[in-house]
Amino acid sequence: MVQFPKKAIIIDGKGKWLIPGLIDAHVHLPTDGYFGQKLPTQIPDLSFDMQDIMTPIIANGVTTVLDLNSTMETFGQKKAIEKGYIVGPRIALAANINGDKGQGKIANTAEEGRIMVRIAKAEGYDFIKLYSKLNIETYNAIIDEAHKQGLKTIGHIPNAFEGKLEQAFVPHFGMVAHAEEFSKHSENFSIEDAQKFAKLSKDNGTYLSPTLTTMVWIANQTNSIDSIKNSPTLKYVHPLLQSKWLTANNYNKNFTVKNLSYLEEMVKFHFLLVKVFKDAGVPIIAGTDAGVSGVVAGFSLHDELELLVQAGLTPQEALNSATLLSAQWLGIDKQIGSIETGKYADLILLDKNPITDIKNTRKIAGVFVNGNWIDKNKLNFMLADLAKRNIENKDKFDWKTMMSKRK
Amino acid sequence: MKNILILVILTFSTFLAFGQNIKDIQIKRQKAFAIKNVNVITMNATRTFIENATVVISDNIIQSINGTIPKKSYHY
Ligand SMILES: [Zn+2]
Repeated sequence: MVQFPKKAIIIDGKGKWLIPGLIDAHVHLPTDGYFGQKLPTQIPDLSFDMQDIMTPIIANGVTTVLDLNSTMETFGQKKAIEKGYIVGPRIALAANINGDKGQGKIANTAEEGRIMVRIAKAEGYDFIKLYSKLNIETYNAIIDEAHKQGLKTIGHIPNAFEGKLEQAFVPHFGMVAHAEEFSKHSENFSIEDAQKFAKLSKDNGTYLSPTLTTMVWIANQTNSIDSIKNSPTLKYVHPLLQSKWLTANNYNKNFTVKNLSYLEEMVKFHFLLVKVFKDAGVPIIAGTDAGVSGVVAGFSLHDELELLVQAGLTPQEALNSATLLSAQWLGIDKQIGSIETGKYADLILLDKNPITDIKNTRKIAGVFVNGNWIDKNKLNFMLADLAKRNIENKDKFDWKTMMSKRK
Repeated sequence: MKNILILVILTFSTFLAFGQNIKDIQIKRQKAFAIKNVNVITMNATRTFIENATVVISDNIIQSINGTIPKKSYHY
């Protein structure tokens, strides 16, 4: 006999399906923008409402995200959720380290790389993100130091490995953040290349987060900006970002017939990569690169799951890539990732069975997040309210005007 | 009158939905929940599937799933 705690709220699950809350292992949460003045008490030129950022995420049952370019402000978002000021996902934070010049953590020597990792550790980051302009010695040192500091690494494969991809697969390189990191190294998108890449990953214990949806979106908007204009999820994006995606879209600007057909071939190759990596036994993790134009956090994870199944994962494998397997890579599988006694109640109640059709992960009856039960009506209300305000405020935000303030 | 009632409901649900008040969220967190008669896709290591289960949650933790895994459970 099941003992109910006193005053428990009973939720009727008859005919419904309970799955663990989903994990998106690759997002970019928006943070405020300061384009003009530099004063101690300055007000941001662009200020996001934190709840508005999180609402589409939790409304889609995404209860954990890995943010791959976190700043101090992302720490603030994480704290606000933990304290219950807003309702949002668990946030794992990655410090992005890049080479050359630029903003953020920059390292151009092995020693600088090690220092940046130790700073990231001291600041409280959970992971290290490797970026494209790192040189080889710095890349190697960052991965080695991160391992010593107990931080896993995820990232791009730096451009410096052109023609010598195998050298990037050093011990403790944790996860490749995009299928594109491989397709860049293939001239003919052949199955032989896919098999070679899969073997490198498998032998090194490196996971793959293919972010199929990102490349589909990039190809679509390169072809036509209408793909974004007509997207049903655009209304959940802040009006300034909508303006940026529609009026300053570099993918679309780079349209040529040749470029588009290259991207379309690349999309196909990414599907092949997923199948070949799966067959080779490389663990595949669901991530979406949400924040890239067109890719709306929360909704994007369901797109990714669907694409992973199209590429050859079973619905159950796709679900695993966004639940237990992802939690294991993140090192939090004792707390989340499956429905087991003693774990956090990060849960999604579905109207239909996602194992028979992965599209059913979208049929959400309610979500448990941060100890809150939010049913479909409430989730829909939150989404509708967000969309309404975004539409009302549309004319107040113009990307080009905002950028002209930049000094 | 009907309009006023709708306004009241909307205002109230806005408050609930956004929970800007930390006290409100904390009270909700202390609540216990039981999801009854639900099909549980556990996604645990052995991919246990449990039909018609009752999942009890309190303090944001899964406290029990039918007490123990019932005979009806099977692997999918
Ligand atoms: Zn990214």
